[in-house]
Amino acid sequence: MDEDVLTTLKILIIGESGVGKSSLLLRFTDDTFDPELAATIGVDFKVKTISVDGNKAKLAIWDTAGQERFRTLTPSYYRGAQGVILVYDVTRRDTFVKLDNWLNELETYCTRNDIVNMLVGNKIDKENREVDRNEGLKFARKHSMLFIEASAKTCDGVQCAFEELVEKIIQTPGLWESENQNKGVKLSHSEEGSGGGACGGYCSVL
Amino acid sequence: MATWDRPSRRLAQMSQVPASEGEPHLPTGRELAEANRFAYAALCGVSLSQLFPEPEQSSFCTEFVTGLVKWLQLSEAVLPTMTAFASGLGGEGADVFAQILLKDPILKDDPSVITQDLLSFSLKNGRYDARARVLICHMTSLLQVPLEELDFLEETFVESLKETKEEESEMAEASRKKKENRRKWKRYLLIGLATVGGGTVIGVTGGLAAPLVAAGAATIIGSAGAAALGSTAGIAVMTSLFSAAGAGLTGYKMKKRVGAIEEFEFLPLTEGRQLHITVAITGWLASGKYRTFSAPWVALARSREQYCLAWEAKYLMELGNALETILSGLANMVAQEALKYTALSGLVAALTWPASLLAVANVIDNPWGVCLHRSAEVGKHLAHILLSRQQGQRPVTLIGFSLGARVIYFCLQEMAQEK
Repeated sequence: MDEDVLTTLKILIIGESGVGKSSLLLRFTDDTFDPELAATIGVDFKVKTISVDGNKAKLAIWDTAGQERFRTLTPSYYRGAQGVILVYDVTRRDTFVKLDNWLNELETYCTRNDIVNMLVGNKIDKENREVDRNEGLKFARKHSMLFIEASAKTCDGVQCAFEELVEKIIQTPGLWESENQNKGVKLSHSEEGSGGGACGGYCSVL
Repeated sequence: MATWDRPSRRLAQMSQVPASEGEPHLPTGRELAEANRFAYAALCGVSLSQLFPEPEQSSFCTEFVTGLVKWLQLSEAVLPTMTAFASGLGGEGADVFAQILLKDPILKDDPSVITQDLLSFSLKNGRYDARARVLICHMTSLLQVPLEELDFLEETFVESLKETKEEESEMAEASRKKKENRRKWKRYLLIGLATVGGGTVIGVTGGLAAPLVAAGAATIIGSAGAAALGSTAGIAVMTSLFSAAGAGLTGYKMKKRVGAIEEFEFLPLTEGRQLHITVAITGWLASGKYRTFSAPWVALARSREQYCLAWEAKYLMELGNALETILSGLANMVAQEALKYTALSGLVAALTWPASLLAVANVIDNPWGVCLHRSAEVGKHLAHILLSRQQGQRPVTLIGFSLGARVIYFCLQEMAQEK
């Protein structure tokens, strides 16, 4: 099954606490919704294989915790990511205003500059909307990001968001092909590391 | 009367434990902030996947990380992530995790807290997995703690375990009697081992060792690290770690010949006990300074508990002598070579060359052949002894030269096959 997978892509979901990052992921991977979902600790991880334009891609999705106390951990996940989903809550303007901070962090920690970003305005099923669709679209254009509005609760736009992101990544060949090469390097590196460790003084058995 | 003693003693222990917890107050992994506990577990997971990428080790990695998540009182929700880390995903972030940990207020002053915490975690079941020790070494160096610190911590653990053993009173007497009974059993087993030699015996020993681990051991060591080991559970851990019979490797003597092996015995190189042991295997003996098995290892300082394996002294001595003969023979030959360039050259070359070669071949052939064969046998036998946990549930480092290295090779091969 793994053989016909074109590539494995690392996708990162970031955004303020409570905007629905985990809900979006849960809807996408398990097609469920839990209104009482507990706050993510550190980071959550899920794998899903999707096919876009006849190409199968395995997505390794890292869902980061939005809470301030886990913020220190976030930088460790940016490395090697090909796609980032930046989420805000359309019913909370503060989560939209803080997008700039997230973009800054993205720039600081991302290892590559051709990474595909997508802005997702979540919770459009709610009545009390504070951020207009056009505002989101304008922001996304300004920072050359993909944009979609979605609702994890009603399943609106969730699948579409991930598919579009993957499509864009696959259309940028340098992005994932170089990642495959990187993997080769990484593998030999890790072997080298463990070999060195054994020589470094611990080759205990039993 | 015995029934009266027991509850009171248990009460005394209960009141002791919190007291010892309060006074020295050893910070443990659990006291770190949640994000840092997460980073700690994640770093362990990533390290495990880097250290043991082989598929057959994956169950160990997953179990270790799952246990660690519980140990650190992290939410169950992080388990899928940790498993992902342990299976080799997300390794890019390892250095960031290490940096986060180094910035932690508790760890900044004393990063060895992690080493200690991991050590308590690894020992909580009364066994010390070699892989766990490799991980601890790795984590220790990632957090820029000198490895001596780990040695020191291991010693501290042994010391505190020893203290509990000395405190052994009437209450422990019953368990000791049981142990003596077991010792008798052990002897049967050893004889069995020497005669049968194989999988069945190992199975029996494994079953014997298991009940030694008291259920409460984990909770007691866990709460306050080394300081809180003052209980019978400590003894159980001690017994489990340092072989059930108490005598350990030195107590092991073959009661009967095993196969072709005539001599097989562990000689202590150093006095002392430690959480990991080293077995040195000599490759050949020679007359003079290197007459004994322990002579080449006087400078060995890998752990405080070191043994050397005495095996087939007769043949190894013969081999050493043969080697010496060759060496001196070589000197002779060199002299003859020199003669070649003199007036006598024709005569010397014609007569002595083939003869000397023949002699050398004869001298070396016999002891070498025997030793070669025996080293394989000894290696296999050593494998069975290690697999039956004569050394206790501790990591073992094997060091050897020449034929000693061959012993190790066959030992590892045999162990791989047995497992």
